[in-house]
Amino acid sequence: MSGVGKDMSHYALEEYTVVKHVVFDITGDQRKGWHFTTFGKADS
Amino acid sequence: MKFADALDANAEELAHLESKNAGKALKLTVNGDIPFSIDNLRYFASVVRRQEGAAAGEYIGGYTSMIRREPIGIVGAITPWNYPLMMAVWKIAPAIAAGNAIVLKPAPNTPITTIRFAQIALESGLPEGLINIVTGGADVGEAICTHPDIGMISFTGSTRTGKRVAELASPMIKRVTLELGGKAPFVVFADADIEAAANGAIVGGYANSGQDCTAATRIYVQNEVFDQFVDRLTELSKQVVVGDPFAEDTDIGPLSSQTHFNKVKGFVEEAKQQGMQVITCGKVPSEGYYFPPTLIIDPPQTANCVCEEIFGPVLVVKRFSSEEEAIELANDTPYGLSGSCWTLNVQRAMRMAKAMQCGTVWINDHLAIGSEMPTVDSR
Repeated sequence: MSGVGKDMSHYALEEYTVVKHVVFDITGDQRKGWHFTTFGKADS
Repeated sequence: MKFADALDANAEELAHLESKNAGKALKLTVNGDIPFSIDNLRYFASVVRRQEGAAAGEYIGGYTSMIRREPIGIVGAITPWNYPLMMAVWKIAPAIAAGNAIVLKPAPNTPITTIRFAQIALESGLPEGLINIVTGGADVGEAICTHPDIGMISFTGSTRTGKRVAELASPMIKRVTLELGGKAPFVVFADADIEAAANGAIVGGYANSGQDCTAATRIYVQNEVFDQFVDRLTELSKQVVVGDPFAEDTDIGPLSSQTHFNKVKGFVEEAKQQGMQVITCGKVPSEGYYFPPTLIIDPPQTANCVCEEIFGPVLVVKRFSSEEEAIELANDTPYGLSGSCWTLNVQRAMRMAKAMQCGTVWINDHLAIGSEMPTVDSR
């Protein structure tokens, strides 16, 4: 049991940062193709 | 890849099993859970072949230094009941692709598809002992967390159980991955496409009957468009078909158990008792744990329905006046899994993406995910 994590190198930066995942819609569609899995029909 | 092909060949069976297992609408398992699980397996099978990292080099004079990524050994995993197979694959695929064996405990009430998945693994040629499914309750989970041969624990489930997992794993200094609760903000500015936002709230809030840790649950709407948005959200909520998971026109199925049904109902009853405006949308079958899409209008920010994870098709809708207030309200939670912002102003969208304290921020959408990008907690 010597520990967990990393010091030094760019791998250490992983220990001191959090990843944020940003997803931008680029279609402008009011209803997306996959929305039917929760609401309505596939072709509506 | 051979394993993924075998799953593809059994996709229809798996989808039916998952709907039976968890009460999910068949159109969700056929078009969502199962194909996405298989895609995830294919992704990890391929990405492990092109790992990146620091280049080998003579960083210290007279020596060549290089990085080797090596497996942990045996990984322990505990998965929830809301997406039984998909959550299992999110853990099994990266673990075995990286060269580990895995011992996984599915939720006690939804083990069927995970067991079938492991059977297909054997049928497709994966060695015995690589994927090990152990069924049971908390005692089994605790045994996994404390076993000395298990070097890492990966858990998805409630914050309460996650704390227990961390507590059990810490004396042995095991690596721990915890994917816990959420109470996602969904922020609608007056300059948004209101029709798109209303559709997004329906899908983001009611997907899988709202039993989703990234579900849109706290809807914050700017004053100028509040009434317009609530009217459209109510109208669309009334069109959501709640019923038999196997019926063709069903949008969402029942909640997972009587215990969970009672919990969700408790939040709504409490809101009514405290005088909040509750809009019940549509009808549900009289038998079973079906819960109608429900809106709670403008509750106090401190109300339980705003602060606690309901995990059902219940949305709270609140007003805000300025961007600063929206940020303050969105971040006013101990959770930090996901959130979304709806605006057609690109500068505002970028500011909100930075300001919202969530692992995933969607702009003008909610819930869209892909195998290539992470699902992360920011706190």
